[in-house]
Amino acid sequence: MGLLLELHDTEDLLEFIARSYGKAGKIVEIGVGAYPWIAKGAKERLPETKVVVTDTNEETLATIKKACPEIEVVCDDILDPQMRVYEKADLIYSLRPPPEIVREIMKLAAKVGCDVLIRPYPDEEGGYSYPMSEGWRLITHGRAVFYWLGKPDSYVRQT
Amino acid sequence: MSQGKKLVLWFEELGKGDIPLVGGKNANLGEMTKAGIPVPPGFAITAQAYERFIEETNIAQKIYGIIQETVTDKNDPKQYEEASEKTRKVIESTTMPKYIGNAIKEAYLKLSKQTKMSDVFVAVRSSATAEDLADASFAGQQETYLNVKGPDDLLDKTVKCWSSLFTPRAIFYRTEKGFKHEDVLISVGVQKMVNSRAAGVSFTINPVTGDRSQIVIEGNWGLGESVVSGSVTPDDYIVDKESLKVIERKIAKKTVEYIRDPKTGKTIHAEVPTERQNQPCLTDKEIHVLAELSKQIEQHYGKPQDIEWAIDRDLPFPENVFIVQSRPETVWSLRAAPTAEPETRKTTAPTTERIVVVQGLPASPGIYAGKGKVAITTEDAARLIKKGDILITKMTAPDWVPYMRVAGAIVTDDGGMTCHAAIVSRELGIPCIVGTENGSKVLKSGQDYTVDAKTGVVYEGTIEEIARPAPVVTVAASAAAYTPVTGTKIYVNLSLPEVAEKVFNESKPDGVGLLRAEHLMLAVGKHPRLLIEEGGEEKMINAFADGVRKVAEVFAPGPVVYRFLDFKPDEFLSLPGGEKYEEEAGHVGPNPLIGYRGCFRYIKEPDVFRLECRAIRKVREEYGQKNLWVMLPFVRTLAEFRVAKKLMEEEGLVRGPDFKLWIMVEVPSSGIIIDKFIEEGIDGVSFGTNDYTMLILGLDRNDAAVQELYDERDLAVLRLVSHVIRVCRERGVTTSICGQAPSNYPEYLEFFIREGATSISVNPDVVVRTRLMTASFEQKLLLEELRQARKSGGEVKPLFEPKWSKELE
Repeated sequence: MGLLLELHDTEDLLEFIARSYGKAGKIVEIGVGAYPWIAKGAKERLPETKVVVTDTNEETLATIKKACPEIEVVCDDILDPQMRVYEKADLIYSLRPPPEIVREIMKLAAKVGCDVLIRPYPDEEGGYSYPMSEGWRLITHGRAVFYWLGKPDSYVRQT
Repeated sequence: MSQGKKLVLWFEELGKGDIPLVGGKNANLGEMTKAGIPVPPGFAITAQAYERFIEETNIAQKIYGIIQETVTDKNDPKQYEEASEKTRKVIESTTMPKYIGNAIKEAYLKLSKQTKMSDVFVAVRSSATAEDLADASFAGQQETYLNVKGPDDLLDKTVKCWSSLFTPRAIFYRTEKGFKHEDVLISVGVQKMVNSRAAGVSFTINPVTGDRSQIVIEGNWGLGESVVSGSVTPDDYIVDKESLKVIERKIAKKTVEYIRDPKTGKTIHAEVPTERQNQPCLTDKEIHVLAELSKQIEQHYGKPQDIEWAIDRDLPFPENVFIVQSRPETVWSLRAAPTAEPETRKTTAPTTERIVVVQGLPASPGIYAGKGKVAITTEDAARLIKKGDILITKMTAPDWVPYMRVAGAIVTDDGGMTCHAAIVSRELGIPCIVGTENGSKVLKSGQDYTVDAKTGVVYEGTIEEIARPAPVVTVAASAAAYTPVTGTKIYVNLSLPEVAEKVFNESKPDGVGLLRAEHLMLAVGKHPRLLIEEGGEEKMINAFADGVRKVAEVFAPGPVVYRFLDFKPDEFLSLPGGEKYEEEAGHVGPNPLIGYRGCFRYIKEPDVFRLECRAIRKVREEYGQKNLWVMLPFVRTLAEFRVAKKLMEEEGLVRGPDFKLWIMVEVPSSGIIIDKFIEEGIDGVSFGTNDYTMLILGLDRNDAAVQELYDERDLAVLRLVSHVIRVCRERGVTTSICGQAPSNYPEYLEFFIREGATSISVNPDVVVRTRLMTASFEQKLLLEELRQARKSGGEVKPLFEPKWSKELE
């Protein structure tokens, strides 16, 4: 399977990440699938930051490694994560994750103590249960629509 | 020359009376040729030729002498190897008398002429004269050489086949079964090679269960050796012998095939291109013909058969179906019923904690606990395997048998239920699990394991309760504490077929209230229109059918409600072809959430919708998963619903006792005229509260600026939900919800239960919690009704006293 094509909201999402995480040492994308464009763009904008993408599909990871050698690919299963992959990350994010793994991403981010951003597939139900009371925010940034849970100062810098 | 003196005999000259002369395999091929079974043409080099060879060159006594001298301890596998090496060297270095060679060459040239080829590719197989009898068969007893071409190559392989009478395993086997080495001669079969697209084996009895009403067909791409040797996990079809209908099919991921290298003519192991890996290797018509032939062969011989078949890639159907080999099935024909009693050996302290290390296909039933030994080569096995060890390897081959004989259980990485390890361990009566994929990597030498070959699981350590089962203790009592019975069904929302089993085991939902298709489409990786343009319809149908089948199997008999694709046009853009078929086609409007999506797409692009319908039909009819229902998303008007329903009916999806059609209620219009939809014919509705809320309140749920207004608990939303549930209840239509509201707000869950919803479908992580809460709300409701009844003097009135009941009126 080849790589997927860029979505309309990619630029806007990247702008948000680049502005909010300019000083980040490491950001990790969970379940990159065949869509490396956020990770690639983030690395371009934040050359000092280590950008890691994970997935369980070694085949697509190999394709990504070939197409984007500047980003680090790791085969890891979010349902059974190897902590060293995520340690010291400043942001963990995921695009259109299957709802089944969203809870796991949240748990992992809490364990690592980092921000988390989820750009959902706009299912009728979003498919996710974002407890807004726990600090989750829905952010509309240009064409990008995503849920974000972070340290308040990260977002303040935005505006 | 009489038949008995001939060096070469054609298949059509042979019958089952000729076993002493040409061995079981060749005699069978002759027998089948005469019976009109499509067997590729060929001839047998008789045992007479072999006998004259060893007699006239004076090597016979030498060979038997070597064996007698070398094998002194019957239980030492190394001695068999040494004897084999010596005897085979003697045979292979001896020159064949010229007249024998000429007879073989002559027959080969005749075969080439008959098949209209200059030098025909042939398969050269040994056929021992005491082998292949119902009481003495062993898979792959001697050698097989494929893609042999030219007279010289044929002579070379003939001698190699002759020497294969003395493999370590063959020597061991004869010693074990009490055959005299001198009594066993060898014939060689030479048969035109089928240039096979797919090949495999067929059993006229289920080799695992012994069920005689079934035919089991296993196949892979390319040559059949990959299946026979068990080096791959093949496709697996179970066919009912009476009706010849497929009752079960497991399509394996087939990554490796053996093919003939067009340049060298040698057999090579090739990687299967990704697009073919998950495709069935046989068409339904081919399965039917194979099953029919298998049945015919069994009837001819009067006993269960183990058949090798191949599908020629150059010939049209049905001439492309060939039977290459048939022999009596040996395990069940000797045994009436499974007798595998657990044989246990206490090793370390038994544990009660069950840690699953690997899983595979249970190939020979039984349970065993012992020390694991990982042996990748026979050298490893010779060094490591002691009596009672668990033999762990990638795959076994004929020369492994001495070690298999001493093993307490066998675990392999590859193979299906008819692979070498499976057949031999069934014959030996020891538990065996095949196809674990990574057992030889994950399991460690020297560790204790419990092999449960009833379920196909290897556990860490010695698990006493499994290895030595205690009197049956009912688990129901403790499980009941966690899963209260609820009147309202608790379903789960799923989008990844891979996690279905895990989700089911962890939280035991009553079914799947929403099976999303979007991630299946993302996994296919192309816009459906582009797929259609490229002729990839089958690819999409198979990918969808495969994913959906996995879920349906796990949850059966609980219902699984598949929601047809509801891609928003902008989300389609990431799929190759999306630009052309969405953007350029003008489908991406200013607000995709209320744009070109849902049911409307199906009536505008029925060809894509039909593919989904076919996938569903395939799972229901071919795979027999009748618990699979469907749901139409984002239904706006009656007119579009009518068209979509008609399209479904044209594709054979017609409402009936075991096929329910649901619609999602997420556009207010469908809720307002729900009675009209019921008149059109629906069996159930499911609320999508997110879109419902968005559209009733008129706010974009993707717009953070109006986010604080967004609330599913708004009275307007509740009124419309309540209206739909009440109308549906009156008309006998089921109601469900697959949105997040009941998970986010307990009072919402209570509201749904009070209103009388049939089911609640939630994400996997909240199934257990939702079930507990549902049970408690239901009890509360019952209690209230009872109190009310007492107050009103015994008359029970319907009670609606939830938080919002007054406002709803």
